Amino acid sequence: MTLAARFASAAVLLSIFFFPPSLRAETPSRGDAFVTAAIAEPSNLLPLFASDSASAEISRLLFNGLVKYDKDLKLVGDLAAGWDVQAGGTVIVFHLRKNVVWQDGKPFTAADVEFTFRKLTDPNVPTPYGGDFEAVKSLEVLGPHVLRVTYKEPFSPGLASWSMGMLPKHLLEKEDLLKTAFARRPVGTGPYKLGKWKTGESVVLLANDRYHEGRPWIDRYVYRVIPDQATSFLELQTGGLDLAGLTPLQFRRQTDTPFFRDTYRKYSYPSFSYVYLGWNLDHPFFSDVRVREALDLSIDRKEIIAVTLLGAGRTTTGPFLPGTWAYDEAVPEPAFDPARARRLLAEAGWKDSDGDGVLEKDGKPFSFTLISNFGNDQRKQACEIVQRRLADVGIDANVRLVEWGTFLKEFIDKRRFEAVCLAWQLGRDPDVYDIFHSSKRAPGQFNFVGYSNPEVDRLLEEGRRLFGESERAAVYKKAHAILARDRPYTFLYVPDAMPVVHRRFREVEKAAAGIGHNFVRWWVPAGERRYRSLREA
Amino acid sequence: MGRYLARRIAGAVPLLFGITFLSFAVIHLAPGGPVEAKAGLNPKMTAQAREKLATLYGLDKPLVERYRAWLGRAVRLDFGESFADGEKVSVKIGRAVPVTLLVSGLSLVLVLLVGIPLGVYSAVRAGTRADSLVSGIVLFGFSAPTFWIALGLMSFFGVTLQWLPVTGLHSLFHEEMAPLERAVDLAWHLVLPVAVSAFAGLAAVTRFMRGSMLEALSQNYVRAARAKGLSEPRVLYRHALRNALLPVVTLVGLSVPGLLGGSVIFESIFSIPGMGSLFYASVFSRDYPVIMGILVLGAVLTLVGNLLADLAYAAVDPRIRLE
Amino acid sequence: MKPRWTFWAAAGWLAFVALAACAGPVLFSGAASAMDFARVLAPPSATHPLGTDSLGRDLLARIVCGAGASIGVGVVSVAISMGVGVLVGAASGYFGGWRDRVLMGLADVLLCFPVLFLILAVIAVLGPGVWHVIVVIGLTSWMGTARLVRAEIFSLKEREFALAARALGAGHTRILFGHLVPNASGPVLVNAVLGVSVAILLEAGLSFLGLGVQPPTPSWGNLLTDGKATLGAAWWLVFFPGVAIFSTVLAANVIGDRLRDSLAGERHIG
Repeated sequence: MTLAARFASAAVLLSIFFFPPSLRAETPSRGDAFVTAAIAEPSNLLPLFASDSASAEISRLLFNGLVKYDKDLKLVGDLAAGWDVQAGGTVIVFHLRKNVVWQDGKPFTAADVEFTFRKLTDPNVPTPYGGDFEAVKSLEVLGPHVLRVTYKEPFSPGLASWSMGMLPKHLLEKEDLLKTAFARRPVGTGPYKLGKWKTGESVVLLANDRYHEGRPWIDRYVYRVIPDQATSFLELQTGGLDLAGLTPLQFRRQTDTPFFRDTYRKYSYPSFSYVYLGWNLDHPFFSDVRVREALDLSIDRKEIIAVTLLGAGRTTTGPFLPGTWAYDEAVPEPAFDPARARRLLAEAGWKDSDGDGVLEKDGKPFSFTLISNFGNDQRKQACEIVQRRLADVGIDANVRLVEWGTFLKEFIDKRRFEAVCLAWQLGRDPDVYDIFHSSKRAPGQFNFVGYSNPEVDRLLEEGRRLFGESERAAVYKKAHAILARDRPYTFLYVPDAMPVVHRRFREVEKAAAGIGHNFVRWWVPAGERRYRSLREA
Repeated sequence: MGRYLARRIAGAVPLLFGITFLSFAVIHLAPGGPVEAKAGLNPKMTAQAREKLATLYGLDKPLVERYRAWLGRAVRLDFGESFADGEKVSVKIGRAVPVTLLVSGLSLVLVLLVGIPLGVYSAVRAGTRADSLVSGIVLFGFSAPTFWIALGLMSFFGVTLQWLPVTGLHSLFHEEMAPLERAVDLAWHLVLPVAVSAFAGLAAVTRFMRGSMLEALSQNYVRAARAKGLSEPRVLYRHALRNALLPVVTLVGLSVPGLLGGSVIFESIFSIPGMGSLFYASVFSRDYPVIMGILVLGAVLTLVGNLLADLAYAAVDPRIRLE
Repeated sequence: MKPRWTFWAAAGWLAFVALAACAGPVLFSGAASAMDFARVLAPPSATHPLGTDSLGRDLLARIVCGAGASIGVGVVSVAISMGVGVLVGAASGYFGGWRDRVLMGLADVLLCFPVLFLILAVIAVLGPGVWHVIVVIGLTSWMGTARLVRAEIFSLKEREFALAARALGAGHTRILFGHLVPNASGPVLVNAVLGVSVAILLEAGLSFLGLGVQPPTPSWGNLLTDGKATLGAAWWLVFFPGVAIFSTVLAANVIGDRLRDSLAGERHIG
């Protein structure tokens, strides 16, 4: 070794000695609690019934599926160590991990998977997730840790559907899932087990010592119910919450105080959702594609993002998340061109013959109602801006907000609407069959705008049959381009998710999947803990 | 008297029928339903799953049949299970009642402790600036929207000064605290909600007390007492106040059944899981069994309250005859 | 008696509010909906004396326009509830017997009613609109007035003037509406004034729950609720609508109080 190198290595060794302990490589240790809050209470922790966001969030900590998405949004094994796709995609063989036990100590086996599958496809069990499993022809247990799933035809979203939480056969076999006490005292395989559930107040989860990936470092996970947004922000300002989602206003203007900078870290990344205007394609106004194009051109999305989201969002041109493999970046960004919009409307026969500022055709003014639901300030404001921009080109739009339950049953399910402003939560898999396929236009189904295009139908069917990401990408990108041209929706924007996390948590890492992907690895150094740790068992 | 009571109670029965049937009808005919509330815009929810849920909730049967089924169970005090999570309705309500009672009860006590003296003070100093000041303060509490006051106080005492906790009735992990610590924790959390609630209710009692006291003070017996040479405090408290207190106490007594109502706005702001929150949540998720349970409870309490009111009016005003 | 200036201040404020309620929606609706994206969430200044909201709309114009909705809800719903309450209470108190029992039974039923639900049902089935809220509030708040009128009529109908009228051969309607009701009208009027203030607060509460006047039409209730979302960043959006509600309710209460005091004086003499 040269003199310089020896010197350097000595310096390094000495510095490790003299550096303060907090700057040395830190080792995780157990303790503390993590407190988060939401507006709604969880209703049912069983993964089969956990459809609302509160239940789903907690259920994911209590149960595991066979597969899950990693931080780069790739499917990896969760309870399954691996799988083989065979016979052109009609057969998937899962090899399960052998070291997984239920929270009561019994081992997890393929029998539990088979039991869960039977319940998912049981016509007497009203689970919202049954749809994905209808395509399965059979499931056979080949061994305690091997099973074979055979599909009626190749069905690639099926693989992702196995992220459904698995239920323990030995505890639920004789129970009626809808009435069982298990729903309030669940036993899963997940990193946390249920500690205490105080209805209307909070749910406390305790770390599971037997978790197959290793016990989580954070002892307790507390989910508080705080019905009012303004109040939960006040709680954040007293340090009472460790994680909270911020509104654009809070993110931009209210969290630059020294207190906030010292206490929390802010993150921002595109959320898995998009906001759109849906046009009822059976309505005489909106069945003409020139009119839809004119509507598109009349709305300045950048303005909506700047004003309602304070810039915390981006435009989108299709039903996939921008930046993911199914999204076609080549589709041009939406333009804002009211002059051209007016020309298109004139072409389609709309003229302002009586000078009142509103276009007419065949004696009928271009007037319609845009409905949306209560409870989302940003969308409400977006509707008001849309109303103003449409008025500029001579279209009279009335904004009406409806309560959610009524909205779904009376307007969406019965197709009694002219235009809606809504958002879709995007699944990790880009399969949008249920939303845009022509077979899903019946009342109660989700192609409620009534879109039908045989080419798109064919592409969506093909997308479900292919398994390779690049092949599926090609198909979905073509569908994206057609949807952007046909405009059954006016795609408005993808809002950013803006969580803040208390600074004391280590290992928080922002990735394509957000920040929660490695929650079991988060930890707090002993000197910074806020809550009493669990006594060692 | 006994006959009147018996008749009233007998008359209450068809009334309860009417109330429950009308409520049942309106609830079930209102748009939206529990299935839609559960399903939301979840594309994975199949039509069959929805049908299954609908059958489970009995939504496929005609209204009258459903009412009869509900009634049959209700007379046995079995109000069924919640649609949201299957828990028994009586358990759900039983958990929310003490919470609401605690806050409303304490608030009532505070209102009485502050309102009665304030009312007496105002009456004695009637017409002066002190009287106007008291009126002004008290009316402020009554006139400003509760959530406005609440948010203001929470911001100031909770965030700026950090003296008081902002939400809820307990700190986290309060089960692990010693009983004394737990009591203190609860008390600390109750300060803001009870104060806001009392502030809003102060006006009624203070003004009523003032009016009642003024009326008592103008009576002949007070003038006689003064003429006899009794000291002013004695006149006030031994004579006037005792008579003035009766209507106020009656008023307060009659509002006791209403304590169970719980304001949804108030509870939503303070994150208190009481009757108001329960009712609101069940209305928006169309959780019919819970809604009916709460309505029956409310109906019974209102009828009891009305009966007490009529008895009290008759006792106080001899011109009103009970027929 | 309290100093006179409170009464005149209250009356003056109410007159101003009434004027704003009538003229506002006509004169200021343009200003209330004009969005100025360059001045979003601006604090009070020369151009916007009360500041702007999250879409850049002038708050002063919106409050003036909002007066129309809020006062409208207050006054009209009270008018309806007073009307129904007086009719029911008068009939009940005067005729007594089974009619009284049926009417009071109806009142009891409505008292226990889920007003929230009724509002939801009406709004969804008949469409949105401040009118539906008004009608529902009106039809579910007449019970207090009815009871009050009933009690008054009970005690009044045995008084000399009533007996005299009957002796003279006057018909029921004439006795009721010519003599009894006007004598009972004092407390009813007080109730009405106070009822307006309650209705305004009720509208604010309904807006909090999302069931009041729907945006983009401003009302004090929905302005306050919108302001709540920006709490901390824009104090003026919460403060000024709250002040508007509070001052109006306070003024109505002062006037109602004064009315009650002067009526109480009269009744002692009478």
